[in-house]
Amino acid sequence: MSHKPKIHSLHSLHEGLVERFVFKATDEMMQSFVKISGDINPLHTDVNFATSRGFDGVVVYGGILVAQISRMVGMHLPGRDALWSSLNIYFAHPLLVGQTAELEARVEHISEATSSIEFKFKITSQGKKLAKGSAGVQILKPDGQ
Amino acid sequence: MERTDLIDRINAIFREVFDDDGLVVTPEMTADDIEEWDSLSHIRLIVAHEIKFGVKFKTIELNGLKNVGNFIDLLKSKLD
Repeated sequence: MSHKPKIHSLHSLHEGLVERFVFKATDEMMQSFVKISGDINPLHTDVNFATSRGFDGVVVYGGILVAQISRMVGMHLPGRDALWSSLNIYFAHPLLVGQTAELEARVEHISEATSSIEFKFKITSQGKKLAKGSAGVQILKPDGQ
Repeated sequence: MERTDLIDRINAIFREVFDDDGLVVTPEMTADDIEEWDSLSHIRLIVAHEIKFGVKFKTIELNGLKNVGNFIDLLKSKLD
């Protein structure tokens, strides 16, 4: 994982630009999310409950997928000068603990007048689309200085 | 596009952005007339128009606007 956010200006981005990365949902992430959210729903914490409800294992919190979108915004699109302003997300299939997934984002619209971008994203794992949506981000320093 | 049709589409975008089904835009309307019209909703408003009408605005164009009527005129000029 990169530890330095990219520094995109309004002009170093272009519509159609794609950024992607792979992440793995770990037990450590799940435990951290319990502390952050206070959500101890058994679908996310009890494997017996999760399997009794028809899943093959404990279901990863949707909030952890959203956290990866935050990583996309703050580290890649546009990186350092991001101010996240909107998110639309649709969850299609669950991610299970221990599985890896890929987040891909494509810049759909660049607004010079508002120094902002819109990107569409999808999260996939094992050939299946887990989530999709769009996000809006303002660029606080449009010239990237 | 006829001006009345354009205003209808603009009105729909305003209602969506400000989450107000009863909102009716008028040419004299300004940001002071809508409580939720702040800097972030302003961005959503402009970007929504850019995407839905397939146009792009420049900062200098928006800076010169005094009310919604001016905005309608600007948008119409880009569509004609």
